[in-house]
Parts: sequence; structure tokens; C-alpha cells
Amino acid sequence: MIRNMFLIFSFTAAVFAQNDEIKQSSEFYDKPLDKLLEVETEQKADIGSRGGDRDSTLSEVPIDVITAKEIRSSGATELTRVLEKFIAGFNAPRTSITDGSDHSKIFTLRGLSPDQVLVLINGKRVHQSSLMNVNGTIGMGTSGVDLNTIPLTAVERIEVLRDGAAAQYGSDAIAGVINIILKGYAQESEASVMYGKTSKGDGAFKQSDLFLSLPLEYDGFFNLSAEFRDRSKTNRAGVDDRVQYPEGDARNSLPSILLIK
Amino acid sequence: MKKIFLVYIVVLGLFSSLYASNEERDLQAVFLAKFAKFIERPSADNEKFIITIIDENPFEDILQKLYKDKKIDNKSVEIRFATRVEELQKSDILFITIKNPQIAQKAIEYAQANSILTISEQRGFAQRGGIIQLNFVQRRAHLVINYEASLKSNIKIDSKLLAIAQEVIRGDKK
Repeated sequence: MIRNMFLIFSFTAAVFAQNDEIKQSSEFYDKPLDKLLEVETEQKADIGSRGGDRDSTLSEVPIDVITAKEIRSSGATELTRVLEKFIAGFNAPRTSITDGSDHSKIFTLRGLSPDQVLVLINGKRVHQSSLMNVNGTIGMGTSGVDLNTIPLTAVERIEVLRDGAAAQYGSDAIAGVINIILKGYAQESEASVMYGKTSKGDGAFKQSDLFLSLPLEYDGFFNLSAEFRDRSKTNRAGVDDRVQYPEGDARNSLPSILLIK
Repeated sequence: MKKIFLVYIVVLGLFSSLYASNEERDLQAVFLAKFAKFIERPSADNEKFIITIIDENPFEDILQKLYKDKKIDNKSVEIRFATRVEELQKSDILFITIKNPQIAQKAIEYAQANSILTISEQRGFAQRGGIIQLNFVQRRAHLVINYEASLKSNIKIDSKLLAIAQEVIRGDKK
């Protein structure tokens, strides 16, 4: 009895699923051609599976996919900032007075060390930077990948697996995996220029990006990405007007170094 | 009974994910009929509108189900499959999935000689003489049309279709 019921349930489930599939293509059939060209297909991800691209919403593991459109609309100018905005558990603090760590941004995923996050470009491993974080920052004693060396204009989508995947990728994928998919065939060339500064008039920020895609014969392509960024200094330190020396000490009347400046 | 219901829910979920639709394939299947509306080719004497897929069939049974009760050019649709160029017969649309460039070229030449609209998702298909190349770039359909190849095949393409294509190869007029 139970076995028969199980078979009936299985059959009805399969029929319902197949009907959904037909419904999908029938809905597309009713649209005019120009509207069909505007249809965005499901978000696919290549990460966490050996079976190739699949619908990221049907994945058994938590996968986030950030598209080029989302990257542009975020207003972020660096890859670490993009990931910080979209990925829960991704942390990239802005450090200061920590030597090279100020420039090669340190990041953590799910609170684990930077060297426990595997970074891939088009599914291939990216080497870690040669800088070891030794200046009292997060991830001290480790070195991670310098994500900001990848220009944002070159990125088609970013897939982030927020789960341990060491069994599949190796021991450097304990915190998770970040797979950066670069733009490939038939992409549009683009260029952008950005400029800004703080309300105090300092910290001028200049950035220019270029993505040039040249189609070659048949299925070939040549993509060139370039990014230039310059940020001027800011100083928000105030004058410490507290009495620093015992009363009557002549040094109390000396002007502050900051004031001299 | 509760256990049986639980098993039912699990099975339902399992089958739903197994049969999860592939939107790119669904779209491609629909595009075949849409393109047919924008082309004009020498009148075929077939009673049915024939779509032939040569080599692997990436659509599984989507085409059969979609066109089961639909008509193109007031003709019912028949889906045919071929594994070799020698097996090809007269048809209205030829969807080419052959990976070998030399064999694919033979299929294109056969289609040109018989005024068949050729469509493929292979990169560089239009440059090799195919008429419509249909890829997906950043989750959207990307059309490359070889207008010169369509003229060689004695097929006229409506300017509306040429206008919405991302790339049109016009031969010497390029």
C-alpha cells in the first residue's frame, strides 16, 4: 500500500515539474521578438559543482552571485568594497599605519583567516600576495590574495561560496571560495572617469577605467582592461590643547606642531 | 500517514530540482519559431514546417512539447533529428550542433544549396557562413546575423530582425 502511494506521489511530482517547464517556454512564446531579447535568464554559477554552470538558486550550498550590472549600480570602485556590500560575512576593514597592509587590502570571509579563503579567476587558482600582515591587523601572520589588483571593468560576475569546500577545492577553501568570472566573448567596450573629494576640500579621488573588447576572426576575442586610481591624503587630526606639562613649564606656551603646519 | 506526507514533500522537491527548467534552452526553442516569421524563403513543398537538429539534441524534449499544438506559417511543426550530413532532408530550419568545423561546414553548404535557414549557438558560426548565431552574453540573447550568407541561400531577412541583431555581417557592404 505504502509502496504504491509512494510511486503515485513520485509520478505526480514529476508531472507537475514537467508542466512547469512547458509553461515557461509557452510564456516566452507569447512574447514578441524584441521583448525576448530583453529577457534575463536564470543566474548561473559554476562554483561548488563539477557539473558546470547551474542555477545558483537551486544550489545545495549557499552561493551568492554578483553581476556586472550590480557592480556598476553599487558605486563601489574596488573589488573588496563590492564584496563587502553584497556578501554577508565578508569583511575588509580600512586599516591605517599598518605598512603594506594599508595598500594590499586584508579581507576575511565568515571571520576566518585571509589565507583560508580560496580565490579563483575563471575557476583557476589565484596566488596569494607576497605581503605578510604583521602590523596588528586582522589576519595577522597570514597573507591573502590582493583582490584590488583585478579591475572591476574586467569582471562579468563574482560567485561566492559561503561554506567550507575543502573536500572539493583543498585546504585553502575552509572559509569559502570566491570565483571571479572575467568578461569574455561579445562584450561591449566601455570607459569611465570618476573624480571626487571630501566636503573639507581634501582627499581628492581620481579614477579612470577602460575595458576594450576586440573581436577576432571566428570565436576569438581580445579583451584589455586598465584601471588608474589616485587618492590624496586626508587629515582629520585636531589640536590637543590640554596642558601637557606641569604648570609653569615654558613648553606649555609652545605652539602645537599641527598649528605650525 | 505523516511519514508518507513527508516522503511526498521530499520527492516533490527532488523532482522539481531534477526537472528545473533551463531558461536559455527554453528561449532558444522559442527563437526558432520567431525567426521563421522574419524570413522569406522559396516556398517549400513540405506539408509541415520542419525543424531539423543535426548532431546532439540540446533541447531534450522541449521542442516537441512546445510545438505540439502550434503552427508556423500555417503549418504544423515537425521536429526531425539527424546525426550525419548525409541524413539531412529538406527542411525549413536547420539547427547545427556539430562541433567538428569541417563537418559543420558541410552542413552549412547543404543548407545554402537548399535554402534552409541555419541557426547555431556556436561562436563564429555566422563568420563561417551560418545565417543566425544565437549566443547568450551576460544572461541575454545575443544575435549575430550573416546577411551575405542569407542572400547566398536565397533567403530574405526582414529589416526588423536585422535591426535588433547585435551584429550583422554584410560581406563587402560592411
